[in-house]
Amino acid sequence: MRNIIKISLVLLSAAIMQSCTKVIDVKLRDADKKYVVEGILTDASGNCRVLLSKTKNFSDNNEPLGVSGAVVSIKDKTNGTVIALTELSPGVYVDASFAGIPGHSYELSIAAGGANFTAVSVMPQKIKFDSLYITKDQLFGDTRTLANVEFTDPPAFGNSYRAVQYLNGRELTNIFVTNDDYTNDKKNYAKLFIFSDDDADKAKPGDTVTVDMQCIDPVIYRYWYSLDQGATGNSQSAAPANPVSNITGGAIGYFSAHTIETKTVIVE
Amino acid sequence: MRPLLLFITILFSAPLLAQENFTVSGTVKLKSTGETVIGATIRSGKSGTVSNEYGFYSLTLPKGKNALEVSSIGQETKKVDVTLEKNTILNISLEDASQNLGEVTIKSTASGRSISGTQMGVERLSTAEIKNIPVLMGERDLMKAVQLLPGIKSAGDGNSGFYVRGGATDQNLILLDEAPVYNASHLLGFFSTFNSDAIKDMTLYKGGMPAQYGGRLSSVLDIKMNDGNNQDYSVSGGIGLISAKLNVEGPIVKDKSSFLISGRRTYADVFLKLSPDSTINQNKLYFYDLNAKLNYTLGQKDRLYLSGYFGQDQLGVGESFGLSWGNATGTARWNHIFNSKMFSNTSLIFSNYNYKIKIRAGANDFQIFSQIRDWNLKQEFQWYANSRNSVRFGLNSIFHTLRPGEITSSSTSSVNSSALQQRYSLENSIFGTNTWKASEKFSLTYGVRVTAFSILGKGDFFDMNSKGEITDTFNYKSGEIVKTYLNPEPRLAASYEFNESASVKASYVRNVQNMHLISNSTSNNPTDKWIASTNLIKPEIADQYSIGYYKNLADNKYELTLETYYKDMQNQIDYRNGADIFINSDAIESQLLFGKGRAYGLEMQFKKKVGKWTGWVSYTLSKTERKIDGISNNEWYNARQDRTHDISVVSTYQLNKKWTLSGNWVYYTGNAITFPAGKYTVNNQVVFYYTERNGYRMPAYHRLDLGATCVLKQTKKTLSELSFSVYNAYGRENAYTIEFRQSKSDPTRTEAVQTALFKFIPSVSYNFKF
Repeated sequence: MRNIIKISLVLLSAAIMQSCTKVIDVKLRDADKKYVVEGILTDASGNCRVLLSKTKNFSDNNEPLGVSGAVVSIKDKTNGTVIALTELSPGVYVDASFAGIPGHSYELSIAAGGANFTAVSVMPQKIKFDSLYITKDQLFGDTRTLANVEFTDPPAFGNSYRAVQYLNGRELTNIFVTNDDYTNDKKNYAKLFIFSDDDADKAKPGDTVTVDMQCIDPVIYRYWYSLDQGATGNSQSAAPANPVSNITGGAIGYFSAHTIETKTVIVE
Repeated sequence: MRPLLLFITILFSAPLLAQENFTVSGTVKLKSTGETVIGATIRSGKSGTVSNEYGFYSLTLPKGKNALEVSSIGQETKKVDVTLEKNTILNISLEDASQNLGEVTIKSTASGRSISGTQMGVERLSTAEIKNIPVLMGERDLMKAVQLLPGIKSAGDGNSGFYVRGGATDQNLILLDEAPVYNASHLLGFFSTFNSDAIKDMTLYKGGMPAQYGGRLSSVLDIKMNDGNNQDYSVSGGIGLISAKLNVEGPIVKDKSSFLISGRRTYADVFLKLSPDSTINQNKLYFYDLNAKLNYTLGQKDRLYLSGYFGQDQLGVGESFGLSWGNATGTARWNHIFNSKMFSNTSLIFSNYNYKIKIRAGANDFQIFSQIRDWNLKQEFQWYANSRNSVRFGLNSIFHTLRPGEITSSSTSSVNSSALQQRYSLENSIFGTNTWKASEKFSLTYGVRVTAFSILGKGDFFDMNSKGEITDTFNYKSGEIVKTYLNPEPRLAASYEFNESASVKASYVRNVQNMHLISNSTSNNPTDKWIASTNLIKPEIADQYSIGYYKNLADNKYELTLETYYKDMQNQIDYRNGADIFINSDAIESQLLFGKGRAYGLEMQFKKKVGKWTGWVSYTLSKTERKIDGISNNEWYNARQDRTHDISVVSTYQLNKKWTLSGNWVYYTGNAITFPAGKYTVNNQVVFYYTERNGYRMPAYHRLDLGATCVLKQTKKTLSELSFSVYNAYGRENAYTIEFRQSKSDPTRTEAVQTALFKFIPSVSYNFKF
């Protein structure tokens, strides 16, 4: 629901305002570098990875600055198992076989450059991804091909979801998260809006659209929600800020234990 | 008790020693329309007074022959001799000045402030005065005009909100015929809700608020509608590029009663319909508003007024989305003159604001509704005790009902029907104030307003820890008092007149605010949330100290004003980082942080009031900061509306009888804003890292607007004219937003992108009156 309101306001302002945009030069002060953690554990093996990097200056290039030589492990707090991750490439720590179990609580520990970071995430119960289908919708005066996701929320409150969309195997960066605050115990229909006016992001007949549906920890829902609201560089928010993180010890980023289910559809 | 007795004795003993006095009282009106005149000056020798908001005046003078001089802006000054053998009623009619002048009209523009009197920090504008100020789309707008005055800052392009002396946009009390207006904007802020055709007078208090006003921290914007012509029928109207309006007024019974109806509608959507593109021509985009007023004079002592406002905005994107919002206000008032010294007004006021969102997306079909509604009773007495003291006292009781959010959905929808708890509160105030003319030169106004804000059940209220997590829930039954906040608000003002053309004034006021608007967006949205104080949200309190110097120059042709202020604010509200503004919970406090604020500044205005060429230059130097627990390491940071410099130049030149030219230029330091301190990659996407709140500034804003008005035909009663204007004449691209993103030309880099809204907007409108 939040997305629908947000989207509608974007559409309206676009309709009213004839505006002009230009790239400008802004002098930004550099800040002390922070560690950035992106930790993922799913219920399927092969997805367990932790990316460790540092923040960069605005004027630097966009290549992530991977941090090598860290000690990274994930502990299953429910059964006591500890898995040490191995460094695959600079800043990328993985375990090829580790899969999480829904309902279990996981703790990520990282020791790097004399600092220690920890984060806890509970893997939620898996909720079935009912269907993925394509609709044609009007957006900014043209017809867009959009992916739609359906799932059925269970009776208890407290479920959060994230969808990740791929077009011909390439991940699109739109953040799509929702929770059952307004839709508890209902069949949910979620339209994955893509605002990008880049032709490469628009699905065409014959394209393959793939969507991962994740059941995420409510803490991680807040991370994605606040990242989308406050840190992606758009200025609708009066007070941009770092997203609400579950990492302790002074790093930014997140550690998410979530379930995953994938569906694919060909655009007609 | 003893100090109080002593005080009363001092207060009223002095005049008793004087010679025998009588009181002359009555109502000041315009001869042509019978409209009462607000703020007319009535003088006799060294005694003087001004007519009140209903045109009533009362002046106590020595027995015998007195020469009265009655003056008001835009009217011929009238001299009346009155012989006082007893208390006398004298109603005064003023004639329109412009009709009797020769080739070129020599106008005197209103001076908000006068040298005498203790009131400071006040700005007054009449519709006639803003007539020639060039505006966006040719839509005359008092709210936009007021932002050209010192200390009052525009919230930016496409925003009708304004900041007064460091306050936020919700800290302005906006009253239309005494009814609070909760959202004073149309079309997402491009226009204000006030149709200037229906407005008589607008007074803005930015400091030294009189005790009869309360409820907001920063300012009071008191707007009075016309009463309606009780002499003759008259129709006036205008047709512009985006709107048309019509105003009809006339007597019901001549001299006794009159009506006024004024309507306005925009038709931007008509142009949308012309578009061949079905995704555009199905969009809705318009607003309309309606002002209506009736008044009856019931004999010499009583007058009744009924006035109402209704406005609605409709926005829609095809079938899938609709947003409508609007204000409705109604005021019933009864003026009663007990005797030549005692004037009373009783008002029953209704005010409502709501919005409705309709959404239809596939199987999802639901509506969201939110409302704020006030019932308000006001009783005020004005007692012109004697030639040295005039007293105002009264009470005010408001019952607020808030419906924060309700969802109604169809059975196929994935959204559940639900409703947040309604919130009830009762705001009771009493006030009393006296203006004491201690000597020829020294005057003092002292008073107090006491506000008791009671939060009422039924509903759940909460206790929370520092992270905003609920630690306890308290359930209250219907009518139960959750908490009462009792706040005395002292109001003090003093003036010292050096001579007839120079004075100095000082004031101290405390204001308390119990209704708060929380907004997380850079512009005001109709869906921003009004909340009342709760057990956790404390009343906002502001203490303001100010000093001013006022000087009239060259035989009152020029006016110089200097004012400086310091304001201290407590219990300010901000969103937590990462707050969810659409949270489906009654515990909105979980998303909020609290802290304090301070603001100080210097305001200057130099005004030319008389001649072919009139206008002003105003300059404000100021600082506004916040300190909120949980933001920017709990350090002081610049509030978004902190602008160091703010300059406006406004001028009008009467070329000849036919043509009037005008122009205004504004310049201000960019708002304080948060920019990134770095970047990193998450989710294969470059995102930004922030360290300090509002550590940067938007680029400086400046803009020139030009206007020209051509009178096509003018007789004593009729008028037709064409107005041309160009908004942003030199096409400055003023930054509306600055966004950061991955560069399109070089994806390995990031870039800053500025969006500007208006670049050179010409418009033309036709206005008539017959």
